[in-house]
Amino acid sequence: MSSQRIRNFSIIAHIDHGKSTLADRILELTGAVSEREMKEQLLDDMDLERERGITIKAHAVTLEWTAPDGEVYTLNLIDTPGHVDFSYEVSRSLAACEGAVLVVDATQGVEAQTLANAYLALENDLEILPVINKIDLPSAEPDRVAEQIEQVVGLPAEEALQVSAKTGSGVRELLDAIVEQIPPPRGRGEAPLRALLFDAWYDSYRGVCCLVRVVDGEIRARQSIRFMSTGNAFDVEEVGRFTPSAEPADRLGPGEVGYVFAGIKELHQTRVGDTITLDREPATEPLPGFKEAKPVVFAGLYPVDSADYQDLRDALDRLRLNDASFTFEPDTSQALGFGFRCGYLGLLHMEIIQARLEREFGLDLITTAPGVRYRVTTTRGETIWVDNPKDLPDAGAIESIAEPMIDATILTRDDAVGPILKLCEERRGLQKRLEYVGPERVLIEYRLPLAEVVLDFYDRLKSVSRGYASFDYQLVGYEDSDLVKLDILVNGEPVDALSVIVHRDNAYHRGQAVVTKLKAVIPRQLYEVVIQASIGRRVISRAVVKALRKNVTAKCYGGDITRKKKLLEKQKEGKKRMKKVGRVEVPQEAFLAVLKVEDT
Amino acid sequence: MTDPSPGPKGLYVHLPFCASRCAYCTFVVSTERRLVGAYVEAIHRELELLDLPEGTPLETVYLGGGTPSLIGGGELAGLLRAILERHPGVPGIEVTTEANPEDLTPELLGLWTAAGINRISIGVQSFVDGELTAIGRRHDAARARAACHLLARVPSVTWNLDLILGIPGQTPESLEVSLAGALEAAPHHISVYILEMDKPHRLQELYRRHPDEFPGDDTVAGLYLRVHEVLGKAGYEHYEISNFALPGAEARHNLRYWDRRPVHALGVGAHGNDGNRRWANLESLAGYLEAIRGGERPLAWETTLSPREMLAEGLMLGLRLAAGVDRGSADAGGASFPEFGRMLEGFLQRDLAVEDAGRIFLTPEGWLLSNELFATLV
Repeated sequence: MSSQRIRNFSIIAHIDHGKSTLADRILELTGAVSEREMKEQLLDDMDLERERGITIKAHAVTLEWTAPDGEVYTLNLIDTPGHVDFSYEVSRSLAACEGAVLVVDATQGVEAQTLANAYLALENDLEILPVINKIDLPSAEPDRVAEQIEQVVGLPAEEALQVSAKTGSGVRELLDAIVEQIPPPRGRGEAPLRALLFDAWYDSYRGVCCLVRVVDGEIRARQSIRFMSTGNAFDVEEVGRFTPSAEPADRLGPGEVGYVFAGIKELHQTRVGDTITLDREPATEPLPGFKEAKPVVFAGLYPVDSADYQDLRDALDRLRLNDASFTFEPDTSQALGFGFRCGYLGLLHMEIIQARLEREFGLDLITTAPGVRYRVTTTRGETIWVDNPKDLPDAGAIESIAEPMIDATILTRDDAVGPILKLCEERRGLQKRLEYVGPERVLIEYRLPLAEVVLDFYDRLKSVSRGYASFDYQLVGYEDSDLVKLDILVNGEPVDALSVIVHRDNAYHRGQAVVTKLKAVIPRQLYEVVIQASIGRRVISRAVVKALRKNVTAKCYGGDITRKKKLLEKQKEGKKRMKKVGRVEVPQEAFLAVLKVEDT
Repeated sequence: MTDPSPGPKGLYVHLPFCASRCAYCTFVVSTERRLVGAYVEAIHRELELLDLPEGTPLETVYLGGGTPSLIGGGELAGLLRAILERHPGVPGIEVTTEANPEDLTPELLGLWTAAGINRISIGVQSFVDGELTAIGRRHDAARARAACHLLARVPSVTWNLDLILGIPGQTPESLEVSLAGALEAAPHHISVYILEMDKPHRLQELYRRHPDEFPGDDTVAGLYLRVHEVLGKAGYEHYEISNFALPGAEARHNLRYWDRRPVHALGVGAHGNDGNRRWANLESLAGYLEAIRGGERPLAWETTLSPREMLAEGLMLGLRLAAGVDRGSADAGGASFPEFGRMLEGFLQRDLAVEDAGRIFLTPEGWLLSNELFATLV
């Protein structure tokens, strides 16, 4: 196939701006999926996938489109994950393309993710086609949105296509524009194989499915290939394309996108962004841009019922088959027993994993406060990495601590600017940009410690902006900071699962807030419970849960005996869900309480 | 399956009719007084369906409610006669009925005593008018006092009055008023209940919205201990969590429940126990009447307790009593329920429980926390 007639592109958009609907319309118009199939898909996406053994929403679909010049072009539509946590994966998918369709909702305008995605596309030197979607809606303001695209994103948008993915209006024109404006791939057919691995997943029948974009050379079945970052070699069993059903092919040549099965048993043997080359005649240089996706958010995960520990381990193993980017290692907490310290790419990633564990595996879990990985320099000059507060050395042994920083982009209506700035300042933010990007629309950029964002920043942002603010961020390295470990003690015993690393200036407020919250959620019990927050040996906040004085069923005759037993069973059920710290029963909410501490 | 205990039985009769439902009530109660006739008729028929051989003697009969004083005196006397004809009373049988202060008249008392009723329990609840209104009672303090005077003039009757702790607006000061009223009335027996909020009733609704209108747990605990102190000084023995009696005036019927001796039951929603069996009648009045009409026992459920459950029940009920349980049963409990053993030791160490002469019993402070201990037995 001549690479002159290939177009590789992604659709990028802020969430809910219509990316998937547009993709569906494109699949339909190119005849890849019939209208009937599309309806079925709408009805039950997952079942259809299972039944037909294909991924309708394949992460890359090869389509054919006859352009006005009468030629048939091959379009490779490459999907990108829709969230900031996966920005590395997004950037690798974009690296497999020459162009991107930037979808902006005509009723919403440019949002933070629009911007973040556009920047990623620009970094990858892509041709960007701005598209204004949802023009069928009465509240659509395509002209105003076009202006925003020029002003905020900095892309010429006078010519931006106006479409309605819902009705299909303008989608043909978009396909023609893709052919016309996105450049064909360039690559050298004769050079040694270099293919970008931009996505991979585990298929229980065939092992790991690798999605690749061939840059140089070609890849065929029965070749031996090598991953350049790990040096691991595998024999190719089959190559092909998703159209969207999997269709085997003889070869994938320069500029082409498709799948490779190579008998790879475990997902973590592959690295997204890696370069695949031939084992016998390898390329000398890998493709640029490879990074190892490293977790940045860490939290403890414990079964509510310690008997579920093995089930939790099995579930984590299973999840890891399909998600190599999250990590876990066994961890022990005095209060919570045996569990795992897990690392995630971001907050959403964490929520997804936790939700899947609870929903798909039916596990009841306690999560500790999410934190980040600190770089600690000891007085002996060593550098250690700490992602679990309990591993932080004593204050006396610490020379300095550095924490990961982010650049956050927030787009909001102007009436929420005040509270948002206040929130960012509370979270130790440093303002970098504050600018009107249209009437009533403000772009805010802050440098913030990641640790201040992982806790409940996003929820608070949504609440202070009444849902209008959109948010995106990028990691920008480490900065030294005056950080201390804040311990929480219950009747003098430190509750390791409640320890957090905080900035010294915030320690007092935070300690007080946690103590207050704990006092509210720890029920009175037979003994007085003293709750303290401390830094080192210094207690900075203290509260007492007075001893329980009354838990009695006064009236107890014939039928009351049965009722009383039921009541006691209920009380006992409640206690079962508590964790014991010394002899104090601490309810699970206590561990959640530290996740959502209102700012004082 | 059945393992009835030998000896005479107790009999509970549920008379569910009330003029109105009190704000704290969770009992099986009906305000459809037009059904009284049919219901009394049904009780007569259920008597014949009881799982109790004719002629089995009764040690106690308890007519509870509801408001038994709403059933005509003649009907109540007739019912009692029918019961005792079929199941003769042992010498000295205790026959109790519950009554509301506003219903008591010399005529009614005459009918009752003639029919053999020798113990009357009246729902005074408080001697403070505002508190009576708060819990939806129909009488005021003056009416309560009048009823007490009436009862005090009937020598053949032993009587009880009920008080409630935890009423909205109740304070340590207002409790003194009620205690003084009770002591002045000088009943043989006083029951002191604590308003409970774990089942839905009108006050629970109020409690959810305005918990601050209710005395807090600490206040109620203080009230309870004050009741213990005042009634103790006046010669009433605190013989069960909620019950006080002059020497020899303990409620024999109720002691049967705490000692786990058999009590059979008649009427809608009534519960019975005999040996290792427990059972309950249907709670719906319509369902109950229909079952009786069809000549069937109106059972809602019946269960047989395992030895382990019997042990747990024995400890739970025994520790409600001032007499407590013997060391041997406590140890057996600790062997079967290790957490119970540990917590009982904790109770002993903190004087929430006391061991004396081979018996273990809870102190008033321990009673206040007794559910913590009993929860280890389920």
